[in-house]
Amino acid sequence: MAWEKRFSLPKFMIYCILLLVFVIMAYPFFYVLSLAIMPYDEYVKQAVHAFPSGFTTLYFEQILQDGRLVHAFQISIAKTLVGTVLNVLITIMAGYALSRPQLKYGRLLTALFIIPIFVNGGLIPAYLNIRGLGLLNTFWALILPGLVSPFLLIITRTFFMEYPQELIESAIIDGATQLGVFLRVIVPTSTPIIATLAMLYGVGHWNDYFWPSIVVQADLHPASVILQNMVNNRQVLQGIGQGMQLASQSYIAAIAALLIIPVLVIYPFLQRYVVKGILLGSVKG
Amino acid sequence: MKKTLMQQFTVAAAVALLSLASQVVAQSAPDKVVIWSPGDNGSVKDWNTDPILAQVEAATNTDIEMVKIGWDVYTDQINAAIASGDMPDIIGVVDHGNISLLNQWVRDGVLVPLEGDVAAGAPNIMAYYADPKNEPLTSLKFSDQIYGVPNFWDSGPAAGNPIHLRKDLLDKYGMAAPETIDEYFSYLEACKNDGLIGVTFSGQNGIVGALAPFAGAHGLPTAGWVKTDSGWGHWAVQPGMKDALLKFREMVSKGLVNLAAWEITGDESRAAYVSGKACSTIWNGGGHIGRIQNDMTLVNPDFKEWVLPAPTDGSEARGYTGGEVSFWGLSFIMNSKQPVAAARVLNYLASEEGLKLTALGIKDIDYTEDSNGITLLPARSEHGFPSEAGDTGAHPLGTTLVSWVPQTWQDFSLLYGKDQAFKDWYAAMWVNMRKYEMPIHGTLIASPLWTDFQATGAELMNRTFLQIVQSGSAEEAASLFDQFVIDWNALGGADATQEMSALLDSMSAK
Repeated sequence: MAWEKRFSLPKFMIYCILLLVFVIMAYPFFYVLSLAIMPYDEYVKQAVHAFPSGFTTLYFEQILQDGRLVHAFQISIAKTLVGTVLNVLITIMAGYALSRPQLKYGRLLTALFIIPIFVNGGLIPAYLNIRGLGLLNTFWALILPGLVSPFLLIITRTFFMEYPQELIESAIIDGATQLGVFLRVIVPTSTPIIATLAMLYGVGHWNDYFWPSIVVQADLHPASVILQNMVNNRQVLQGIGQGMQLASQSYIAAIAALLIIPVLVIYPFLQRYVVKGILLGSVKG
Repeated sequence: MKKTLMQQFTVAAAVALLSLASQVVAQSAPDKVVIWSPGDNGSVKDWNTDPILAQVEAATNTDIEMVKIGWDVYTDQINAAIASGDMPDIIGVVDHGNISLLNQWVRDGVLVPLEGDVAAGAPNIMAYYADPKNEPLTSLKFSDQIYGVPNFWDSGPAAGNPIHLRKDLLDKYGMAAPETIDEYFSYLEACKNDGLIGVTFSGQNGIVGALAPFAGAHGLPTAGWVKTDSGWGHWAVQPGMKDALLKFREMVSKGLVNLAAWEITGDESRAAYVSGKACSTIWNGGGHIGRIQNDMTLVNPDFKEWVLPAPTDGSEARGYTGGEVSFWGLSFIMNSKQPVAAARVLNYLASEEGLKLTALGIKDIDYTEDSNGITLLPARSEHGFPSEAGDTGAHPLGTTLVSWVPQTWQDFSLLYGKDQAFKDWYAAMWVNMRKYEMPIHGTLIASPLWTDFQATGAELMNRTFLQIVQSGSAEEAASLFDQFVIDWNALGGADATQEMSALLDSMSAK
């Protein structure tokens, strides 16, 4: 029977398990969103809220009226857009160059990129470096220090090593320069790896809070730093029994919601590229 | 010749006048002071245009750059600044328990002691140290000098973690306010029979806070050192602590404790109590009492918060553990560009005028004051003050630098607009909270061996105490405690105790 082919017990069980996993993983996001729209007097009525009770947009309105937060979200958007574009461009250029067999000392250069994955100087040398370059408390301090991820560079390099050599050779025969080959042949046909890099770098920039909280001051803090500071404020001050102006949980949840929603909206569209791109870049032959 | 001499004289006079004028200008130009403080900006949108900060600048002839840094990266950022040589002038509240870090900073010469011109520029700060009620502060020295500016909220001992319960439930069950721990257990049992959870607390980081009433009922604090027959001993390894833990265990074994208590945060614990799910909590006292009642009223106007005077356990001993002095953390003046100007800023914030400025705002703009009292004006919500009373009602400048907001001003904000019944109730709860206090000693000093052992001892204690109160039988619990004392001493506690005992004896002799 046709329905027997469509429905089977194993398939049903798989769907049930997947549904359970989905609920477990999605519920924290749902909880944050429901806190963000919950009025305070509803919030205090229960210790734990399985479902939203009441509705208010007050906290989102407060965020939009708070120039500091609006500015922070603008910084987040600018950092993500500018940073992602530069990250992707530099990474694919470096990955392509390192993938060329005719590159002199190519292996040595690749090794120099791999070493920082395992060993790095730590916080203070990095801080002194950024300060020495005059980047401290500038917008570029949010982008330039992390311009190339060694891990993503290796994936990109492996991807380009598998790139059909014939396409490159035919372009060269047609008179294209190396830069022309890269821009007119390589880039347009490398959508999977570019989408992968864009997604991973983009999410990294959007969520990044540690380095921005060290290398720039409040006027350049992205929204993730503001959120982290508010959350920590509550934890630290409650822990030492101190009173101070504490942002309400719902206000913090509203900021978190505004940080989560863009990623939730964009990621499903780029997910297939991410999976494909990582696999393409990690498996040789 | 005469003409030349005149010209020369005129030029010389002009140069002298210009030099004098520039010196006057330089002297009256405000000193740039950079302040780093942990936390977030609260309601302040832009420090550059904040009128309260502007008032502080005018009063101290300074140009203040206020930088707020996240708690989790605060120490890292200070260390990075020290490494780069580009330090601020003031760093706000650093954990005074981090003795090794502070000693390191003192050795590196990055902190300025409160001496000479700096002390002369901060008479209000020096008065904190001179006040007899704050005598334990004088032991807060590094290399035998005073460096830190304590972040106050009150003079005298701090309120500890009292037992909160519901007066409306006591009335419903026909019970008087418990005087003993067993009577408290009876209340919790009545709650359980009524379908409520008994007591809730945050056990996420250990149970020391929740243990305080039980320890007090056996004559012990849950911090510092106690006098013993052989000198001084640490509170955690005293024989009475076994009885306190066994009593706490009894409460757990009877099912009178929130099952989630071991994982939840302080916020979640408070929410369980405020929402009416739990009928009691062991939580922060002080001004939090009033805030809990405010939130309870939103849930149900019949809910009545009540703070229990510390209960006994059959003997006369009773008392909540407080603090030697009501402060948390120290601010420091750094060996940067303007230590004396930095001292002026901190001094002003510690003055009556400065405290009133950060508590109320600017007179006739943020508040009015007449024979009828103080009236807060709506404009203050535009000037960095919370639009509602907030936790303390104060401007963010009033915290993490000199004052966590004095209790008198916290109480003013909390009681503003409230009726007399609420004010009377609040005063009565403070009396209950402080009725029986367990004195503590030696929390502000640390010998070298104690500094090295402290983290190990705390980790062992937190882990073992949790095992004890969750153990299967009283015999097992007692055995665990006995082994804990042996292990604690063997891991370095015994040597550290000897050293601390000698130190405490020497301080008592002075």
